[in-house]
This record gives sequence, structure tokens and C-alpha cells, in this order.
Amino acid sequence: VWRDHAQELVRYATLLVGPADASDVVSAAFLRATDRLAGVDNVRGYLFRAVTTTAIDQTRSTRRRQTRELRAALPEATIDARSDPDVRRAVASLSVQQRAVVYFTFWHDLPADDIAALLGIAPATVRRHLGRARLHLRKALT
Amino acid sequence: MSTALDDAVRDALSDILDLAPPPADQPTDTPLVEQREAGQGLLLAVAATLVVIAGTVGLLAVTRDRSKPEPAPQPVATQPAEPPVASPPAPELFPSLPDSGSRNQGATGSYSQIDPASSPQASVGIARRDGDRLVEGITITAYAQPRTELFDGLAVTQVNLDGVTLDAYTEPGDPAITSVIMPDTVGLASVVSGRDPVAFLDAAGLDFFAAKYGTGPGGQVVITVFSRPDGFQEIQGSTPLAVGAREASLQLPSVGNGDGVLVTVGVHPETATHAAAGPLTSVDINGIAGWASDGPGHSVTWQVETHTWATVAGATTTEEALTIARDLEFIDETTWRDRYDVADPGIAPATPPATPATATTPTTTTRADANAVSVLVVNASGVPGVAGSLTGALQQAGFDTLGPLNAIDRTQVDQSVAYYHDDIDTGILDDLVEVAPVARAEQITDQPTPGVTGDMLERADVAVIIGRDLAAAPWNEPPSTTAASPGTEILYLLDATTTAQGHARFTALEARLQADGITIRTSATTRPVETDLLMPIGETNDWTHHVADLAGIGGFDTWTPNLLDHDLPDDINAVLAISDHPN
Repeated sequence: VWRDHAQELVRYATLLVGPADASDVVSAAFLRATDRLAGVDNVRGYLFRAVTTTAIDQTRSTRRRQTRELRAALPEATIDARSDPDVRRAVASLSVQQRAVVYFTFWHDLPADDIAALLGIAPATVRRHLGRARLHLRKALT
Repeated sequence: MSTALDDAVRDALSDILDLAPPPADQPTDTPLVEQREAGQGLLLAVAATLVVIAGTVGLLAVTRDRSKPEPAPQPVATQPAEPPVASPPAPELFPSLPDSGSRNQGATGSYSQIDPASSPQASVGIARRDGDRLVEGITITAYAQPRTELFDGLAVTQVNLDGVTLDAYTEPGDPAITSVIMPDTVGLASVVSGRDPVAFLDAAGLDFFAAKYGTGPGGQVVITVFSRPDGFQEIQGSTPLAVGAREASLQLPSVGNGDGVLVTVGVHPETATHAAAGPLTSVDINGIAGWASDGPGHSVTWQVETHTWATVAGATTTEEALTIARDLEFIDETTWRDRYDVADPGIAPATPPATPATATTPTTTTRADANAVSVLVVNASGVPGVAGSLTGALQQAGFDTLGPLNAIDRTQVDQSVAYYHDDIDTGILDDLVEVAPVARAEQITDQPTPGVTGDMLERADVAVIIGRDLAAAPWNEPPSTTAASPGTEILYLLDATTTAQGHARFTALEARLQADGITIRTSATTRPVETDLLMPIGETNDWTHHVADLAGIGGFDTWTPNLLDHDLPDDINAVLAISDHPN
């Protein structure tokens, strides 16, 4: 299971907590989830949710550190970046939940109901997070 | 169909996801400490990679070996200091009448005091504006301790609102004032009073406000109003009634059939209380706006100094009350005591309540999930780091937070406000107020909001604007795990300010850092710096994050050597450049 999903999960965690802590978050999430995977139908979805929860559950100081690291890393650290740095900064300034919703919407093209099931939140909350994120991202683009 | 926004966001995500490090080895069930230590190696590797990348794009970053820091010295235990005895708050000015007037003959002055042993409390006034009048006023009063004795002997009736049975006590008189005891409080803690509070509650619902008693130093009761019936407005924000506060009174002899007129000055506004008793009309008292009640016991109330309000009550007509109000002179305490032969009342220290009541939240709604609500904290208090501190406390409480911001144009506001969108479950505001005791909550409208732009308000479900009233950060911030080791690292504090105000910020921040044990060396630069910059020399660590927290800085920048005309000393661990403008 680790071999199948680790790379994808670390990439997702990079969006949530930054590259420095992504691996740690995924490892911690995997350890938490290992014992419960036996009865799970959608292992991939379960692991994504575990990573989201672990990222959110970080302590206050760690999360402030992560936010700082992420803001520092995203605009400048990608030497071959194709994207607009303002949009990257805008993504980095979203909340963790907003970033998670943006990831599943734009990267995986998932509808709100599926994202809601994946993240364990209400579909209306997904649409609200996405609406606020879209507005902010659109401002960054103009 | 793919839009420009979709493409731009996908490109950004692609670049961000490409930053991901390779996955570590499959984790085993080893103790978390070992996992963290294993992760540190990866973290350092990633940091080194970032340094190389930064160097490639032309930004110089310096890495340096550093020896393991010495362990922090153990703190020396000291005896806790005795708490200071606080003087009860007193008015800034005292009432007097000209010697030439007949009213002053026979006038007597006296002190009175809010019972020092009574409960801390706060009140809010709400009324409907009708031209130059305030009508249908109600007062919300919240007590840190139950005050059942206040209603002893009064007639009680039961009213049913939203399926909840509530006790309503009516005080006889003209007008008769009814007080409804709110549900879900600890004992008797919150009361809504007025001529017809039941009609108001029927329109407002039972969960239109929450009250909280801060248990920290200087804790006080704070009431937050979430919503009001159409047409109603707050006429007096949450105002604490300081236990032990003194009032000064001037009893004037009666004229005609009256019982005499009482002039009172105190540290609390009386507008809410008077509005609950009857309609108020806007009046002018020598150029100051005030409110007059034309009901029985005609009164006028107005503000005479920053923390001092005056009331004239007991007049036979409103005109008489206004005449007296306009004749009054306000003098200092010593002159007033001499003039009216009033003895010094001495200092009766306030007695704090033995056991503060827990937070009172009169709500009947089901709480929403805090994590489903995004919160942006904006600092309009003028004190650096407060927004980051509250963001941390909200994170700890489970809220989905965005990075804190400073108010635009360095705007400062007096009262903290939570602005919320109409598509959230307002029940969550109760939880938010438990952490951030804002003075009020308002639904976001098209109207301009002090300190923030419309874009900022659009970014989160709730935007909390911290004003000067919460500058002391009265929330329980979780303990930081990034404590510095005093003396082991050195911060180069760079003065890049060009204005007196900017230099004052520099001095204040320097003092704050030193007070926290940060070792500082200072220098100046003539290079312009647009915002504060914190530039670690080498990799970031607990110490650099701690400095960032103290300075209220949200992100690191890469060290730029041309900020200095000389070489950076070898033993510096980070450079903090202070500009005229905070981040």
C-alpha cells in the first residue's frame, strides 16, 4: 500500500504543509491508518483523508512554521516554474481546507460531493471553500 | 471547458507538487521522536536543495555549520509577587453648578460605589432608530456570577420562546421593566431587560448573543451580539461594569413639587439602561450629543470625557433636565470635594469573585463543525503579533485558519469585530467567541469595513478584526514549542526606518525581543526596505521561528548582502530588517 500511494500522498501533503514537512505528515498519517485499512473499500481515499486530518491536527506552532515555510518556498523555489508566481502565492495563502478542496477540484476534477465524502465534510462546505478560493485565485490572476 | 483560471491554477499546482520530496521509507511503528529525527534528515536535505535552487536564481543564501546549542539554563524559582491592590475606577470629572444659580444653594455632593463584592458584569444596549429617537430599547446584562438576589420579591411569569420556557421578572413602576433570564447559562448569568423583552426575543431568537467571562488577568465579561431584528441597532457596545467603580453625585434641592434632581457622573454609559426604560430623544448639551427621556423621572445622559458619563435624573420635565445639564460645569475631584465638602472615600479594592462562572452561551442551536469554517484574523490593534497569536489559538480550537494579516493602511480600531458571510451556520460564532471575545459580530455587507478590503473579507467565512480592546491577547494561546535558548543565537537587528513613527516601532520591537531573551546586535541601513524582513542565515530552526512569532512576521526572506555596507559578522544567525511599515 505504501509503495502504491506514498508518492501521490507526499505530493498532496506538499500542497498542504510544504515540502519540508510533507514526508513526516504522510508517514504519521500512514502509521495511524495502517491498522484500519483492512476493512476499507477505498484505500486511496482513506489515505488522502488521513493525510488531510494529520495536516490539520498539527500543533499550532508547527502549523505556523509550516505556513511560513510554504509561503517562503512556493514563490521562489521552483526553478523551472511555468506558473504565475502570484497564483502560487495565492494558493499558499489559502487555508488548509481550501487548499485541499482546490487540489481535488483542479487536479483530480472531482465533483463537490466526492470531495465532501473524501474529506468528511458537507458538500455545501466544499462549495463554500471552493467559492472563496476561486475568488481569491481569480484576483491573483488579474 | 477549461478556463484561464483553471489553467493557471493547474499550472501553479503542478509547480507546487513538483516540490514534493521523494517518499521516505515505509514508516514503521517506532516512537514518534525517532520518526521526527528521521524526518529531520530529510528536512535538512530539502532545505539544502532549496538553498541551491535559490542560489541558482541569483539569490544568495549562506549556510554554515553550527555547533549544537548549549542547553537552556534552568529557570530560578522565585516567589510569586503579591498582586497589586487596584484602585477602583473613578470619573475623570465631577459635577458642579455655578454659585450664582439658585440650584447650587443646598446642593450636596456624595460618592457611591458599585458593590466591591458584586459580580463582574457587562451590558449591551440595542434599540430601533426612529428619526431622532431610540425606541423599543432593550439591555443585555451578563454576570460572571449568578445574581438571583436582584429579582427577589418580584413577580415572575413563565414565557415560552422557541419551545423553551423562560422566567420573566417584572419590576413594578412606570414604566414597568421586565427581565427575561436567558437559557443555558450557569445559574442566573444573562438577562435581557426592557419594556417588552419578550417581543424582542421573539424576533431575535434565543441565540442572538453570547457572553463570556475572561479568566485571565484583568478578566472581564464580554457580550457579543450576532444578529438583531430588522431595524434594530446596537446603541451601546459591550461595556464592562467595573466592580468597585465610584460614582460622584450631586443632589439638587427640589423645585416645586419634585423630589429633587440627582446629577451623577460615573465611568459607565447609561444609554442602554435609559433606552430600556423608554424612548430616548437626541438632544444637544452645549455642543455634545446626548439622549433625553421624556418618561417619568425625566432624564438626560451624555458623555463628558473619554471615560466619564453624566446623567441628570428626576426632573419634572425634560426641559428642566436639559436646563440643568446645560448649566453644569465639570471640575476636578479635589475642587469638587472642597466645594461640596465631600470626604475622601478612600480606596475600597475590588474583590474578585471566588469562582468565576464558566462562559455563558445562550444558544439552542446545534454547533457547526469549527473545522468547516475558515477564519482570517486581521490585526487592527497596533500591537505586533496579536493576529498570529489569535490565529494559533483558533487553530488549536479546530478552526480552519488563513495566514494572519495586518489591517490596510495601518488602520487601528477600538473594538474587535467578527465579520461573517451569510452562508455559514452562525452557531459556530459561539465557538469562535469562546476563543476570541470580540465585541460584536456582524454579517458582511456591501458597506466599507474599517481596516480591511472587500477582497480580504471574501477570502474566509469569518474575518476577525482585532481592535485595541483585544490588544492584550486575552485568549489561551497554546504553549509554544519553539522557545529560544537565550544567548546561543544572535539576531542582527537592522534599522531601515526613515520616519519617527517607524523608528518608534523599531525601538518597541527591539525592547520586545530583548525582553524575551533574544540576543541582539543593531545596525542601520540606508537601503530602502518596503516591509519588515526576517532573513535567516542558513536553515531555519526553532529560534528563527520564535523570532518570527515575536516580530509578527509571516514569512522568511532570503538574506540579501547588499542591505549592508559592510560584511555581516560571522556569528549572526538571522537578520531582521525593520521598515517604516509592518508586514
